[in-house]
Amino acid sequence: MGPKRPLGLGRSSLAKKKQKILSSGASPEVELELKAEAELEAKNETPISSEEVAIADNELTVELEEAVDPTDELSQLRALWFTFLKSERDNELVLNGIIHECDRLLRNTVGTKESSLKSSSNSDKLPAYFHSIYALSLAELAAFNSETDKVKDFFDAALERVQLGFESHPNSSELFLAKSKILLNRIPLEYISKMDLDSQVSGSKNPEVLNLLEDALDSYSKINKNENLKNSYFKECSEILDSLNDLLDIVENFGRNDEGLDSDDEEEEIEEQQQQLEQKLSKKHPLYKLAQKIKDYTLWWRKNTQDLLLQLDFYIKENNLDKIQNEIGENNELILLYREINKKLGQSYLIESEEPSSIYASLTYDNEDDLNEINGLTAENSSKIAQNLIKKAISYLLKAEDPESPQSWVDIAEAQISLGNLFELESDEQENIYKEAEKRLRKANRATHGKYDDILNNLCSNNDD
Amino acid sequence: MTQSNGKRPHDGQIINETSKKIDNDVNSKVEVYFSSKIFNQDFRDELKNEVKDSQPYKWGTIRELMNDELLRNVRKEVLNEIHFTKKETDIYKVFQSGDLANLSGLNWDDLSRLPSLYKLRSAIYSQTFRDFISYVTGCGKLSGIKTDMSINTYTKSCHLLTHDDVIGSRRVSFILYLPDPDKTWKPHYGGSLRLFDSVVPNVPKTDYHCKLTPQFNQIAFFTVQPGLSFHDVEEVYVDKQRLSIQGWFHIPQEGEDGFIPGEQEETAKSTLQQLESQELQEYDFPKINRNDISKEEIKIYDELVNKDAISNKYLSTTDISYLEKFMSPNLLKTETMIQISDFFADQGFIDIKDFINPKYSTHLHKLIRDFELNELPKMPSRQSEVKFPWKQAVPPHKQRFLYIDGQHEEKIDSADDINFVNNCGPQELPNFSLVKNLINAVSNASSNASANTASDASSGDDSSSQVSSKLCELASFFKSKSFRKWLVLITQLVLIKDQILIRRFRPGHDFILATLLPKDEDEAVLDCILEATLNLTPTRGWENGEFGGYELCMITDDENGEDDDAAIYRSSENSDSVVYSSQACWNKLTLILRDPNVLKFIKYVSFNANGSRFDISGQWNAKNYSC
Repeated sequence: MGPKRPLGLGRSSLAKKKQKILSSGASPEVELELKAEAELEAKNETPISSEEVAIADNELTVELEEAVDPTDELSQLRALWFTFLKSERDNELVLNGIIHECDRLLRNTVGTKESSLKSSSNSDKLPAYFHSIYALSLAELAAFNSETDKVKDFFDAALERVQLGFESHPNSSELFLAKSKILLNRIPLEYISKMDLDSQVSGSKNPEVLNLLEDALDSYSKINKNENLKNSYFKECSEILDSLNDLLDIVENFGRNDEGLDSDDEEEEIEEQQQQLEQKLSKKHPLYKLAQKIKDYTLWWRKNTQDLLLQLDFYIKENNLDKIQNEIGENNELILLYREINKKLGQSYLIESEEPSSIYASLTYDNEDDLNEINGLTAENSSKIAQNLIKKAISYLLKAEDPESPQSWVDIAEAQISLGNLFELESDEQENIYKEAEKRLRKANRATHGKYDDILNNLCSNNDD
Repeated sequence: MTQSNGKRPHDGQIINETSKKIDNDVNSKVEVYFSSKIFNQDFRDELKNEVKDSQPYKWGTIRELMNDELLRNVRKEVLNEIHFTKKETDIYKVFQSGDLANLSGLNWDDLSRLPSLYKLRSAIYSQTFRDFISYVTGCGKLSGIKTDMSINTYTKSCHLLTHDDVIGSRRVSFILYLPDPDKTWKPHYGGSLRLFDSVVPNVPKTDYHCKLTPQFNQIAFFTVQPGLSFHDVEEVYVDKQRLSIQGWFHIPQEGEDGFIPGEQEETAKSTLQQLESQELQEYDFPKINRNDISKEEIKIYDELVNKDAISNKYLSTTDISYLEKFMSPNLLKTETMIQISDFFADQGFIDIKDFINPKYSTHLHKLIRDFELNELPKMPSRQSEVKFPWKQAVPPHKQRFLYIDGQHEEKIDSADDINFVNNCGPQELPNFSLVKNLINAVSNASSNASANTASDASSGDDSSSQVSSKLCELASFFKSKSFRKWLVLITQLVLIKDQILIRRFRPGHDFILATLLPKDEDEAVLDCILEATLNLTPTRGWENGEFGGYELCMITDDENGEDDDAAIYRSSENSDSVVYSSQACWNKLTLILRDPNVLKFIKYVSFNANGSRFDISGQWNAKNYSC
């Protein structure tokens, strides 16, 4: 009998529904039948119900790293975890699968020990990353249950896993990373999400958010920054720093209207939104103490982000990643990360420049009361400070410039326009900077088929005036 | 046929025979809910004239229609009390209203928690306002008992593609806009209502005729005119919320003033007849036109599928060396071919990553990416700007994209032009090699001419030519005997006809709505079509589908595709009907053996996508192996 004749897509799918990607490359692949998870016992140790598990007849392709044994269960677990991290992270089923697998591996290990060594629940044969994956998966599950009162249980269980891991691996960077990440996710999800402007510190329900944050940063500081540099290290550290940045942003804008500032909003609208921003939290508000220390934490974030960037820069050069990228024409994920970190640092300097810039603008163009200074700054001082900050921002944004991302060109152009605004009207310096900005904007506008028409028209009409 | 006609996002519960009489108390007080100007006869007459003279069909708009306070309260109520759920189909992406207590739909029978919305609905469907609308549109009487409203919000990337609103007894469509009342909604935010003129009835022109940028408390309305009232909602480009209440006035129901027995049935019948009319397909471009493969070639394929096993030994060394110029060598190994074939036989589809070999792929990737980043002259956005060898797919209630079909230039601007192309003009076969040579010749001539006057525009033309030329080379490869042999071996289908298209789906413009394959009555031809899509989208960011541009297949039980909700696929209750989906990406070949009951579409590509979706699409008829 010859080869099989195909059925149509519709007819085949009636029989079974699965999709497979066949790569013509030769990377090893493992297929994981998630339906098997449904048959696993739901354990009481973790807050998961059997209904949550028994969902689908799905199939997932998990790519193993090169040079690992595809039959090794721990390698499979790790690969599955990375697959989840790379995905949209919206598949609760995969998470449940990971947690059940962790449970199973733990039981097996403990079981072996019990029978052979008569030991109690020792799990020290399991590597630190096992505990980290277990803990982080539990914490990720909290996000899927944010509407329920299970959030606390998930985070408690996650931190408990980290603690158990520390018992066998007291100095594990992986566990410090996990702890920091879990705490930083816990603050907004479990606490801030339930607060409003009228919230007050009250007993154990609102623990000191500041303490949790300090604990998270302390954990991050204990990571050994010199061991085992690899892709996942940079990504995980950057994710923690992003979480911190987001948290600071949430606290800074707490109680503010959702709709973002738009670059073309009328001035009065911007002022109105600024007023909202300045809405003060009461001293009894659970976020008050943290809000008072935003600047310190922003500096902590910046310092640690710069350190990570230096390390990443070194790693990229040492491994010739930029050269390899040019040759194969594909984007290396670490180079994308390098640009992303630069972009965030650039943005942080731009944000810092807003206050002196606006003082300069007020004293120079809107000074009806003939003030010499605002907040101790003269027009000259404020301009100088703002210029330095924006120049620093531009230097980062230039490193973030991506030949394939018009938005990255626009980011530079917008910073240049802000810089230009700090020079005397129609001065040569201002005109030259605006021209530079216009060049980038035009290029970006062409690449995006008119997305920046409005900013460009604005810039050019100002120039023409 | 497409499913596009008359569709608009709505709540499942809304299109119903809600026989709630608007209470008389409300009716008598209704004037206070409106701006006083609508009771002014001069205003009414002026508006009536505006509607009469309007283009491309009868429509009108009123700013500050309602009492400002009432409408602000409606907005507050809606934002506080109503839950919105994202819904995405081939024709729209929008957040639809659902009651907080019942997420599946807003219960319009119980608006107790929404008193202002209740007043608004009463006012809109009051005798007073219906008479006003009848007067200014000249549409005849309107029903007061059949109310039909829904609330949608369009946020960044939401859109509703071209349709004519014709369903059942709808007589007048209206949209009342409620963006932020204290801010101006600017044209560059998108979200405008765009109206389309028609080539002939039922065939809208591909470019819009005019557009309305809506403000808070502005209403737009038009008489539903079968085959004429085509409109769309431009994508919202920015991170802002464009809330609107929309609905229809229906023809009078039994017992109401103006009721005409049989009118509703007659309207529905004539609409259906128009939709089913074969003539309409004459206006579709590109045509479905698969070319015969020669009998000698088919004989070779017959022999190939009669072999005992799949093997690359049935490909000659010349075949292999030609195929290797384009394809990854791994795909030409016997074991890979068997693997592909087994999977395809089992599933009816397969995705093959890294289909083109790395050298060719790297070069082409750079070429397309550089071209898009520096596109000059700028990307065509209207039909008249599309330059040969590219052509524009029409009409827009079915599809819009650019394509190269390997055939000569055709003028399809008017009904007469289309009549000439269809019934008089040359009917030649595609030849991508010839088109490629033509592109190269024109490009060389123009670069020689502009050698001394180097300009951005000429270098832009050059990069456009290089991309088109390279894509034609790949299309020629798709039509090669060697590639067909490989296809025959892995699919075990005897290919007898083919059609190849190079396609570009531009951000902010292009899509193909869900279609079923037209039926082929020839029993010697397999009822399934073999389809190949070689994804050649070089930009990033498509993975999660937010930019659109993905290809999706669904099974429908209803081969006529008349079920209005058949295309709703992203909600969990309908997920079973999705049998295949694939995001735009670089260098992936998808093969599908598509049955007659499989609907397929390419989702509208968002304005904010990082570039166009490019692909090469092939369709082949195969011999019916049961014959």
